[in-house]
Amino acid sequence: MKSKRQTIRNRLRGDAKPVKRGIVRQKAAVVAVGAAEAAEEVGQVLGDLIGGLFGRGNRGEPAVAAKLDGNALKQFEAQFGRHFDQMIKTELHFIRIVCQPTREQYDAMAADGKLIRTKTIGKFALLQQGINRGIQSNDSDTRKPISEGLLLSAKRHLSADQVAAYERELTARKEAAKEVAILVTAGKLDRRLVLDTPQRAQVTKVLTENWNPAWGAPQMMMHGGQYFPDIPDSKITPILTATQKKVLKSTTQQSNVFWGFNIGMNQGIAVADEKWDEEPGNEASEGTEPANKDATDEKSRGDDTAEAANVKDASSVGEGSK
Amino acid sequence: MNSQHPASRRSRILTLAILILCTAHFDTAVFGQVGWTDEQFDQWVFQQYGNASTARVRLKESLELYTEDVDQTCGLSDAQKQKLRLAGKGDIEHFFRKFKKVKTKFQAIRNDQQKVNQIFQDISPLQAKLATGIFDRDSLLQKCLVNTINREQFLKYLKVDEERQRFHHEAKIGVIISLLDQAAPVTAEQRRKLSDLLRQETRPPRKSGQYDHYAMMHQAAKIDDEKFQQILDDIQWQVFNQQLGQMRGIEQWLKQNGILSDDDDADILLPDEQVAAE
Repeated sequence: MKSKRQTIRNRLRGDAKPVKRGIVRQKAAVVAVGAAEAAEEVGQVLGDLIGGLFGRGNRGEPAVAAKLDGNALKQFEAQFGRHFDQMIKTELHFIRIVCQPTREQYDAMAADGKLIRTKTIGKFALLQQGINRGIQSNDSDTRKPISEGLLLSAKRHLSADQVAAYERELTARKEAAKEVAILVTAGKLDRRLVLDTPQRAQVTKVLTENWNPAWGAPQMMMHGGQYFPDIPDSKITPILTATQKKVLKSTTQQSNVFWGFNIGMNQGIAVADEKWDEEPGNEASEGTEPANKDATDEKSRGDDTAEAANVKDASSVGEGSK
Repeated sequence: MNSQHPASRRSRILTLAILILCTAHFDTAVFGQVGWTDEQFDQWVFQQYGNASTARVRLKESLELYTEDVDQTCGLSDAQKQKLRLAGKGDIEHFFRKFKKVKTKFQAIRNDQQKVNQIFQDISPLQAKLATGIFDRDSLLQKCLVNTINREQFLKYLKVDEERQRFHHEAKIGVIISLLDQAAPVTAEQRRKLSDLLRQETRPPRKSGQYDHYAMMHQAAKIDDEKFQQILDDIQWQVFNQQLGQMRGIEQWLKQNGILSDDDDADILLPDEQVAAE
């Protein structure tokens, strides 16, 4: 039987069936990438792909748009728009470091990024609207829909090797975040139960094997010293001494801590624009003002060799410390 | 005859009950002005514990766990355990004496909002003490430990304590990088290099608690910019530097709340060295 909370979550995310249809569309659309040449068509296909990520209403309209209060969206955009700008820009920059796209590829993905931004803001504005009405949801990771959306975009615009590089890094990022969250949770238990070294290792193992992503909310890591996740006692108690068991029993474990959506330490700063090295003889290329940007783009698109050199600069991050 | 009509008696009882209720609530509503209750004050101080009695139980549990841990590590005699428990109880009583003093002060000014705001300067150290743990370096328990166990036992204890600190240090380093990843993602290679740098250039805060992240970021903010710039590119550094910038001005706040202290960088002395130093 579905719990009330689950039902509310489903309503927030859109019905399960349309999402499933969206996933099928994603696969079909990825196969049909080569056919989508016209810009309008490209936009529609990407819209479909992203629609699969965010859920759709029954009439084919994004669920978020159908249910969102117009004023709430405006207010949300005014308050958090710059935070989402930062996330889109830094994710695109990350793709530039990892995948070394040509400028043409990058610009195509940046254009998709605008659509992803709109959809993501819609999703979290709806979530916020739900929060204001007392509906709780732990679907709080704001970067996830952005990286997932850009991964779909990458599949359209980048080579298989470039996509594989991005996917590898996304997996590594996710694993690193999980590892940290496990350490933090084990640390909390240690602080409360004064574990010895083998116990800490065992607790870490139990947490890894029974991990619940809700335990890893960034707010839990930054401010959640007093919050204990609802780790099943049956998994932990065999490791503990009698006194530790008694203390764990008296420690309130919160299964329903609700943090709202998370922007972490993202401060919504105006991230610098991407710089592309100038082509031979073109003095205006690097750091070009927006007014000259189009002309510069045209020139730089014509020279893949120059692009390869430019990207090398962006990807040489960290070389100095090698 | 002095008997009362039952209805009149009920009426008097009802009036009395209303009077009692009004008196009980007087401290929360004085002519429309909200006053703060003792329960609210306890909530401010004890936060996650809720009230004084729960906090006392939790602190006693912590003392018992701590004594067991030292015993397991160092093999304490009954007399040594007794001494440690006594010292720990002294720390608990010392904390509650301070709490009582601030509470008495609060009770005198509870209806004056401005003065209530000021009393948070007294509440804040109590909160911080609970958050970082009352059995810290300055506690009677720690001083007693040094005077109670011998050099060999203390070395064993230090080894185990260092392992624990390393574990927490790793977690804190991970949190810094994880939050950077949220604001401006880094590659697996950059993550590894940042971990190495932070491991090398920071140390676990001596006092541990819910503000650990701020204490660690404060340390990270003191690392030469160049070292980060060798790992991060301009855009990533722009974002991370902004995060660090917030932590550069909070040293005073960290000190006021007992998260940092002036002797944080001092070396740990062995029992005989401490006796000699005294």
